[in-house]
Amino acid sequence: MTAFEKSTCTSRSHWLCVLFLLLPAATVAAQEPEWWNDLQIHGFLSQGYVDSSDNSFYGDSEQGSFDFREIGLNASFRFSPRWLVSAQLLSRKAGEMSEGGLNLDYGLVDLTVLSDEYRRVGLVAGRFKNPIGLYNDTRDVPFTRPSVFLPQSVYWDKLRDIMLSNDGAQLYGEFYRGRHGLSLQLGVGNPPIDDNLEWAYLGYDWPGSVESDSPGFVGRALYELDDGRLRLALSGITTTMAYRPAEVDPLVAGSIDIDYFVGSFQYNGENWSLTAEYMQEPVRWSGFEDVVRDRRNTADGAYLQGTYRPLPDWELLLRYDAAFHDKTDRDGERQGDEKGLPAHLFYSHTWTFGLTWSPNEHIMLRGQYDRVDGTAFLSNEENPNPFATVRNWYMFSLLLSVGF
Amino acid sequence: MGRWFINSLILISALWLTLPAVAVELVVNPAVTETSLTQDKVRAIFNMRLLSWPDGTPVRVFVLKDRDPLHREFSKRVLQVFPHQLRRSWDRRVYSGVGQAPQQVDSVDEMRRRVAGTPGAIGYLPEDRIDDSVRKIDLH
Repeated sequence: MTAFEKSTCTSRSHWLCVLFLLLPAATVAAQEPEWWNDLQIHGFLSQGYVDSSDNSFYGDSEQGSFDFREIGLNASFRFSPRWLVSAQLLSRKAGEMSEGGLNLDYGLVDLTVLSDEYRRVGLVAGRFKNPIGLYNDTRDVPFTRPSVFLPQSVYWDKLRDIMLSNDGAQLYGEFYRGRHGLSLQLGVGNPPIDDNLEWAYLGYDWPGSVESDSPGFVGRALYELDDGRLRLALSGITTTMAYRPAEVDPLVAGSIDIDYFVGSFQYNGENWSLTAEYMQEPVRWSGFEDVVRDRRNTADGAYLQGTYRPLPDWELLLRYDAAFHDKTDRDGERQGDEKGLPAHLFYSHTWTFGLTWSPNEHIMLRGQYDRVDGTAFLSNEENPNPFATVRNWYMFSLLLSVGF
Repeated sequence: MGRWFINSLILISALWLTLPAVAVELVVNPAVTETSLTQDKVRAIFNMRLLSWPDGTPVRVFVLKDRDPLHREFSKRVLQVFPHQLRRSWDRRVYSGVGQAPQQVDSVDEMRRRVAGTPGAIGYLPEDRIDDSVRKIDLH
């Protein structure tokens, strides 16, 4: 039993392995089967707490909210060096933005066509994570993020469904020469989407539904020096959503074209990292006639983030993040005048101070303080009355996470 | 002044000599046919992007814990990356479903046993802990 357990479980998956192994322990032979080496199971569980001076983010945060929970479990099996299958189940509770139901985060088959020390070329089919920016592919995994919440200017939580994943196929190629690496990904597919997008793009949960109309594209080109000391990337997604009205519906059928582009920079020293990303999102509404005006608009945003690890278990973070609903009206005055709403709804400037303690690979405790001017990244669904939002506010959050 | 300087020199040399001068060596399962590996190949293997040996056997990678001094030494000296960079690169593959992480072992003894007992295995050991059950492989 001991030899078997040791030989089949990575340290990260120990707890689950113990559970797994208690069951068949009586029936297995002492000799480990070779294929056990090619099965991996990993997971994580996190609980957050958010307390804000005003406004609601991840639940009723003015009263202190525990409505932030992430639970994920994944398994992968490498049939041969060429074939990998993998899937992850995710339950995510994020205030009104995410209900905590169980979702298939990804489920895919990966065929490596070519692999040597200079390149790896292959094809992924199924539901795959969108390679956008530096963090989107693993955005719900607490210890792959730098902070409790990702910088909202680039990783809007209220738009996460459209960025998250695609059902389709993706080609990838990784090419290496000495210290230099280039990784290219190009995917085509339909994003699985839900009500948050109606709130975000149509301002309300209308009787009909928003659907992904035709396949969209996603791609990333990433250059790495020394396997990640310097990382430079350009990535983007383009997609079209159609609104299908219900039988009785004030809104007629229309479509929304969304593009999303991110430029990324990161430098990793031994004890510190510097990261900056810029996002631009051109959106076009058409066919809605009067209720939702046909128009074009480009949102943008950027952040600059530094992290420093003074001791192996501790990491400090400082970040400035700015997000704008319309890049031609960054102070929100014009949009506010046009709609008769407060200007602060259309921008946000956020200073973030973070502290992370992780005594080992399995446990992480993180605290964060956000000082915010503006409310652009808040969800309308969580803050239905725009006149009740407060321009200058702050937020304290905690996140405890375990992984294996 | 001269005395202070000499004392400091002695102290520094003493500290230098007492640092764990572990010579970390790459080891493979004895059935692996390769006799030497290039730096590029080793980096590709430990970054989990070179997945098979020339004869088609799957490459199975073993590592110690992230904070193990031998792992740090191996990462920095042989792979020339920081351990946290490696961890992030493995996490990115694992949690987006497009790859696997190395298998983590708890001790040098377990490392030797697992590399000896797993076809296609590669790992690392301190020079003085290598025996006939595994094969040392040269880096060039």
